[in-house]
Amino acid sequence: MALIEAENRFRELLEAAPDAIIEVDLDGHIVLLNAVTEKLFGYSREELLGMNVDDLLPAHVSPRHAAHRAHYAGRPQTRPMGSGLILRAKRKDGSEFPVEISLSPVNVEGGFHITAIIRDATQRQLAEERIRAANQQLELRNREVERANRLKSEFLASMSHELRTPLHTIIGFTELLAEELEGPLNDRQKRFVTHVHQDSLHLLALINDILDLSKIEAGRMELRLETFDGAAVLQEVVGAIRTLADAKEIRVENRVAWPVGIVADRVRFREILNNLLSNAVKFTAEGGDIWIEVSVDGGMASFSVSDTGIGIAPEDQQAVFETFRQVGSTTRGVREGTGLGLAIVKRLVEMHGGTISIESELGRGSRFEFSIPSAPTREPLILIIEDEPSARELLATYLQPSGYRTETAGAASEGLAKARQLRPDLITLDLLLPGRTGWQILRDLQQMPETRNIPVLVISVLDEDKAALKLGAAAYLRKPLKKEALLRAVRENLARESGSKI
Amino acid sequence: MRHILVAEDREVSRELLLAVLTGVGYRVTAAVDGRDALAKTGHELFDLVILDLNMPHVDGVGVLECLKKDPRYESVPVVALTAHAMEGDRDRFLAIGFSEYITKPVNLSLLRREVARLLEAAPPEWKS
Repeated sequence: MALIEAENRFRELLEAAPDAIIEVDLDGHIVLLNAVTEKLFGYSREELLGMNVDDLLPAHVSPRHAAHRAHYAGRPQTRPMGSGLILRAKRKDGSEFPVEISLSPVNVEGGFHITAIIRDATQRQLAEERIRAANQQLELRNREVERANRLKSEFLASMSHELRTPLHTIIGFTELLAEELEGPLNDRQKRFVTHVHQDSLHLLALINDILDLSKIEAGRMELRLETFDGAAVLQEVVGAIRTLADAKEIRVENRVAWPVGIVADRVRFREILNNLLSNAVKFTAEGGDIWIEVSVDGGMASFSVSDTGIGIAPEDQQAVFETFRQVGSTTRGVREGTGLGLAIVKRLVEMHGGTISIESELGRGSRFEFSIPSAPTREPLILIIEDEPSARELLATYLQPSGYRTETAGAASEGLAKARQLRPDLITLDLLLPGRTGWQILRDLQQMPETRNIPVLVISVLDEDKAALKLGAAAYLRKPLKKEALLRAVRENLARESGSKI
Repeated sequence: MRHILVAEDREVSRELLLAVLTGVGYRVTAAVDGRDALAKTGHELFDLVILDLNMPHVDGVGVLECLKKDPRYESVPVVALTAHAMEGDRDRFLAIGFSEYITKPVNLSLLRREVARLLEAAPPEWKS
């Protein structure tokens, strides 16, 4: 009774299995099977019972199967499924299909039989093939993307070179005209030349933007960190932006009146400020206000640029930092620029270890604040070489309130010694020193490696601008000297020297 | 009068360099590429040579190498001019024998300053 029950439960188990299960004797004759086997091979139970298992294999493997079976009989042990091996099987209609097989010996009276569990691997194989094909496709596409990306970088690099070459000459000739060595310009002409100069510099900046972004994206941008006064750079940028702001009658108030030492890449820092300020001007209506503030806290200097412009809707505030994005609903037709500015700014700030944030209200204005590592400051040092005490005094009074340190020398030898010792950031030189040695000083300064990169502003009553420029003077200022002209020349030349330093 | 050779293949860039230097009173001769530069240095001795690095036929470095073999040019300063500014470039070019290295866009006063300095350091004018 118990035996019949056990037999029934075995039957149920056999039929409930999802795989085909057969039992064969050592000659290969099928002695037991379940319903799945019938379905899988297309034979009826009656046909299968007593059939040799070799007949369930394709003709090309069937003849060798008896030998395999004999080999297994010699060393019977369980061989599980899933060892990755896929074999071929044959249905009644002759069609072939892939199977996975597990084998185990079962003891019977007078020896043992072999139980085989056979699983149809058609779906698995198909899936694997699909995955393989998909992977292959993916790899191909990846390779293509990589190649396209490399081509894009190469294209941008060569394109920016092609674009910059003619721009360089435009800028050069404009500067030549502005020097007026080839003949005087009237006031209107001077203004026109200034416009050409400004706009070619602007165009150069845009091209550099595109190149920068492609460099950042390719991970090829390197920062040249140095310690400098961020407020001085800010002042230059504000000065440069003022022309644009004036045209729209926008008031620009720089509330940063003291030096702010920062550790940054000077060129990139200028780029950050320039981007934020030109954006502020661009998106602020006529008669509006822009102001810049700074706070230093916890090793970081936070600069903020605020405006009374059109503002940015809350849902668009993060999108402004994405590339090629000008938030459409808020730009109202203002589409000057590359749309890369803020994306570059964000990446540059983050590369410096800082953060950038935005506060804005639609129709009321925006405030961008970014942080950059701070450092103790050093104001630029200017050496004044001038024999007349009153003139020395005057130059110092002009320079000191604008944040420059000054050192004076009344004679040629003293001037040269101090230049070599102190390595000032800039030198003002009077040509008419006792013994007419001003020219000699100019020459000596260029000969000494410690001093030859220091810009020299020649200040004189003489009409010798051509000769002075020939000897490499950075600028020639005629006495009587106006304070504004002096400060402008100092600012421009300090900026140029630091800008061209590599 | 000090005589300078400027080799630059791009016409507009060449004229700019010429104007920057003739404007302050130098005598300047132009070469349109490296081969032209070698032809001109072959039968004339200049006080200073300015070479654009990227020129057809013979590039700036090629011209420099030839000049270095010419005993007459032993102490004539040669300036390299290039649009590609990369860190370490200056040292590299000074190491192979250039006297100075200037990047484009050319800062007018910097160029004149370097020219004045190098001419001052060079030996007195060659007389034929």
